[in-house]
Amino acid sequence: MAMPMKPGKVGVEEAVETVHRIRITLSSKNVKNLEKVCADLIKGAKDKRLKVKGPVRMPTKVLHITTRKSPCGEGTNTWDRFELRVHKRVIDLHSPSEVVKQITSITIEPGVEVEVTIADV
Amino acid sequence: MVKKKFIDKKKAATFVLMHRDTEDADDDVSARVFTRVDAGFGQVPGFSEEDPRTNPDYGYETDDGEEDEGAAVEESSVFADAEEEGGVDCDVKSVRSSRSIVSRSTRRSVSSRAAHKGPLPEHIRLELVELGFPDDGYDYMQHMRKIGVSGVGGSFVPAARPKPEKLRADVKVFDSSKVPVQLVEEASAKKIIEVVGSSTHRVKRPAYVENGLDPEVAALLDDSEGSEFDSLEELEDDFIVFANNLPEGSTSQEFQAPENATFKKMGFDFQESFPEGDEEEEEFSDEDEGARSAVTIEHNRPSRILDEQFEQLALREYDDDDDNFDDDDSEVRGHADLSQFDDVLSEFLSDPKVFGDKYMTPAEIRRAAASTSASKPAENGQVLEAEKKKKIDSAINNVVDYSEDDELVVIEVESEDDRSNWDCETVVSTLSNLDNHPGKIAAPSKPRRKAPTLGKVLEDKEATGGIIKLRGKASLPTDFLPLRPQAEKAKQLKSLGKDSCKKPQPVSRAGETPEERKARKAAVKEERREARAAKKALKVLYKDESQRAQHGAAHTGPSGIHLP
Repeated sequence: MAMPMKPGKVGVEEAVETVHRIRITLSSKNVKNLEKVCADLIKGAKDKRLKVKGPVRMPTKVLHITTRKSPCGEGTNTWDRFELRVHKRVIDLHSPSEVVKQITSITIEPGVEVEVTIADV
Repeated sequence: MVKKKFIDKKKAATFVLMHRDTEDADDDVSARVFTRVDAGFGQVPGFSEEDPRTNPDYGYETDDGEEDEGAAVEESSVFADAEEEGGVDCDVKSVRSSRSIVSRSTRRSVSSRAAHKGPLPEHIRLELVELGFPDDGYDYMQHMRKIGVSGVGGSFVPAARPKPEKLRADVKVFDSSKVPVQLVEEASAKKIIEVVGSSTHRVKRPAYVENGLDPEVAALLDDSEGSEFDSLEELEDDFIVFANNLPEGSTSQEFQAPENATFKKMGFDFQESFPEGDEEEEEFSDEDEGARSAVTIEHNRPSRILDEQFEQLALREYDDDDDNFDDDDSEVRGHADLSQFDDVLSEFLSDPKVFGDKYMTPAEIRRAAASTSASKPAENGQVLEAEKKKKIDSAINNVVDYSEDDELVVIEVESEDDRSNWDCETVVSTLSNLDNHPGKIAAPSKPRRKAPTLGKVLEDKEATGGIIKLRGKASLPTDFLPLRPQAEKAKQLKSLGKDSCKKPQPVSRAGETPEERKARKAAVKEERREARAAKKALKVLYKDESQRAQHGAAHTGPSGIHLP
């Protein structure tokens, strides 16, 4: 699937760009922001006529912390139940890497972690 | 069958979007940056700009955009100057892979800032040396910040004070650095003078300089550029001895040099540190001079209007006006005619305390005074005078005569002998024998407890059937113990009680009269009272016995018998 790369120096832009399989993993504690970023990315990719798959919603990981409410040991044994939810979305693309960089640099919400994995490098 | 993965991690490069590490970067660069996370070595076009492995010059303005990969990668690492493990034969790849574990931020910062200097450029090295940093190839300038460039740092303002030690003694210096410059046409002469006068102030030299100090000494005292002497040589160890030798005049020539040095070094403070007593006067005089000189310096200043006003105020408010006091000036003294005080004398004359021959109420006194003053306002001035004189004389005499009453006052005290005495006979005779029957006084003897006699024991044995019974809490054979009077009483009561039980109880009959009923009920009450008494006696007996047994057991020692 990857086109044969022309020999050239590093840092010099290629005339013909090879299309890589790219996986963008988005994770966040905040669902709303995450969904927004997802939507923006997919929209941007579709604008550039890329083949997009996603967003695939991974099961949310919930971190539970159960602690005693009381700072001392006195009193009724009441417990607090805290949880931290991490949501993960995965988007697969087929595109040259520069385009991906452009897409991801535009839309950024706070609290969303973006990880880009480029295959066949 | 294994599904073909979309991305094979081993052949993939992973980048994470992170916040830029360097905050003082250009504004047109975005805040987030892709940072390589995985340990692969492949280059990704487009992402290679921020990959320190491919682009070690990222964030750094040099022309070395296309350098050899290997060398660049080596140097950009934090461990660049560390020795390679294993010597020459070590695998370069292993070094690289270990580097990748280094945290991203450090890698970023190092790469962005000082990645590619090699040996530092000369101008930077010079600067570092000037600042005092060691020349070890590390760029300390990255931790330094220029002052005053941004609004955060401060800005240098040069000091405006002139140095006093360079001034000559006969020269007055005025500091007019704060005088605002104006065009002459705009401001009038008066205004200019005022402005200049208010902004200029005299540069004062220290007090000891003005006082007439030796210019050499003054120069040494004001020496702010460092002393000629080493810190070690400042004072001789026995400088006091040297200094003391000076007034004695002995071998002063030898000690000239060190003495001069010490003297000059310490200045006036040295004089005050003399331990001898006769030198104290010098000390005080020096201090006084100092104070006076300070005062004189203040007065040398041209006095302003405000100063004069203040002096006037001080004189008016706080100074004594005695020398200015004018007896003749009626305004200063105040108005008062002597004729106004005629009444004072008449009051005194009629004062009962002084002239108290006759008791007069205040109304009478007033009337008398009024009559005397009213009747003779203008006539008989001389007669009045004579009368007054007489009265005054008598008053004086009366007042003086307290010495006549210096008699000894005798107070009579009744002595004890005069009081009526009682003797034993009288006392005793007042008491009668009617209410006091004297008896023979004897010590109370302990009640002797006797063991029950044999006859009694036998008797009891018959009663109990040959068995020794242990009774009570203390499990004692009460029948054979020596009885105490209470116990005897209790026994008697018990027997009585039994007897009384055997007595036929008066039964309420139908035809009894109220008296009979009363009698019956009284009898019943009596029985009950007796029964109660017997019961109590028995209880007390048992308690006493058990206590006694416990005591005994305690004395004899621990035994198997447990006494509750």
